[in-house]
Amino acid sequence: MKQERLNGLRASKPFHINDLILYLAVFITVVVLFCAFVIFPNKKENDGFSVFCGDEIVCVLEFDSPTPTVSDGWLDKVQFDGTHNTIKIFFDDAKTDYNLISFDPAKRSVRITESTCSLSKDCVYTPAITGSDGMIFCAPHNLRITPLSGGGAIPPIVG
Amino acid sequence: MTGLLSAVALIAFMLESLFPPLVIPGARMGISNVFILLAGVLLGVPSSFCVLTVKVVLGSLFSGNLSSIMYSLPAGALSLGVELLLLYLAKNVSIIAISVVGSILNVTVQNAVFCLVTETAAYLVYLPYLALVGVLAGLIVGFAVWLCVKKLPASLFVENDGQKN
Repeated sequence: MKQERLNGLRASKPFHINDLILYLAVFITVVVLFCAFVIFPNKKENDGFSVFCGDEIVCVLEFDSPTPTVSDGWLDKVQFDGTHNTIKIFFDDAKTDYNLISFDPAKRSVRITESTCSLSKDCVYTPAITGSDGMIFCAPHNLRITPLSGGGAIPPIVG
Repeated sequence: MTGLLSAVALIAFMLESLFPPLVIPGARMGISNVFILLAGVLLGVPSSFCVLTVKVVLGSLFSGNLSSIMYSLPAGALSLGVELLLLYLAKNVSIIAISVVGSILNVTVQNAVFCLVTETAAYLVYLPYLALVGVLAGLIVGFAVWLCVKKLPASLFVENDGQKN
């Protein structure tokens, strides 16, 4: 960095009048994002959710139905608990590597509550899906939970 | 000096990853970016990209989340590139404002890459909240860098041609 610019930076104040241009651009960007994704979109009720591992469908659960529909290849890797409303998906034969999905049919919500994926466990901290948009993604396990669309949409065919 | 900043950036990243994210995944203060931007000011463009690469690659390796390299590296490279462009070319713009712009770019590109990889735009619904956290993070990082630039001794600053001032 040139001496002149360096001296300018070291002598600079935390705010210049030209910053207003950048801050205005940032403000407009944030407002546009909120309008596009939060305020104006029509939110529909969540009918259920689908669980994918990569492109493969693992299971589908509709909140009005008592049990999930599990794909043939995942029958021994998915553990459903109707009492606690949880679905545990295992990724290894020893059944030590898993994601625990919890859902609430009354609130029509779903989230991951436990995972052995990584230190950060981003999937566990993702907010619950409560409407027809949003997604929960566990990158290390390549697991994806998406809502079934509201208003009579056909769920993906499983099995 | 590049090695020192890389190490500190990596330590900051690892410490931050032990804490839960703010509000939604991917939302962190990004304290490690202080050292990346500081490298851009102190040492120049190549060193800053070196610090960024070390932080992203080794940080992902040590935290057990290798897949995050796909999102963090392009986002970090793009935002750092824009920050350095503004730093070197834009006169009378503060480091704090530059940091805020870089932070917003970072979260936007990370989110966009994430949507590309998962082949769904569903995650874009979190972008407004990530952008807000990005503004806050950018302000904090920018202020920290501004303070370091003012307080650190002039002997640390390096000219573009590698000669120390």
